[in-house]
Amino acid sequence: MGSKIDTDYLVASPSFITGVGSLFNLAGGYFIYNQHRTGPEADAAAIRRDWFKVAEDFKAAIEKSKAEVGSEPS
Amino acid sequence: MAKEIIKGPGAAHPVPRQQSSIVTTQTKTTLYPFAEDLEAYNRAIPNGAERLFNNFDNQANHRIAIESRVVDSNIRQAERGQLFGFLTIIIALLVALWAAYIGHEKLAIAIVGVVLTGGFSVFITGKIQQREDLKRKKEAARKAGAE
Repeated sequence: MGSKIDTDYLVASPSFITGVGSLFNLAGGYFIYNQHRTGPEADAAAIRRDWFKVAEDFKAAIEKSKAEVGSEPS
Repeated sequence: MAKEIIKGPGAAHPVPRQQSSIVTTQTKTTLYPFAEDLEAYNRAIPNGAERLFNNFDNQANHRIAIESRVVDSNIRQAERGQLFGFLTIIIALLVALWAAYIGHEKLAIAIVGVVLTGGFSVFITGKIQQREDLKRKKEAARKAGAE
């Protein structure tokens, strides 16, 4: 997909290993996050990354539009 | 600030005069096309801006669909991991109980030991995996300028 930024930046991607490991999460605190000092700060960081992702979409759309125009008979 | 030398009939000697001017420049940096860019697209090709936005819509929808599938798949994998892990532990404990019942206490202790060691190894591996994943996401955002 060629994407650089993850939109699930605040949380770690779950996997088979983390699933098995969670069985031993007796004390809690197994799942970790990209933490920020406050909730609004975390929201701002996540929203910022979302908009960068949208910008990546725009970039791809511009490239596609350029290619379409280039392939049109003049 | 510019320094100008005044020369003329009334000036016996060149008189330096201080002249100051304020130049205001406005720089906008954006990741998105400006309205002027879209107008330029429209001038360059018929419905250029609309076509660009259609492409953008398609790209965004495509990305969101892929992300949804990836996230769902990861969650399902984690759920499978929980189920398989739980079943493995239950079976191992039943075998250990059976072994102890028929008089193989050492075998029972060994089975429980292996289950606990394996389980906690996976627990720690999972924790490390999460930490590395979060670090990678942070680094990717920093490299892309979103940090």
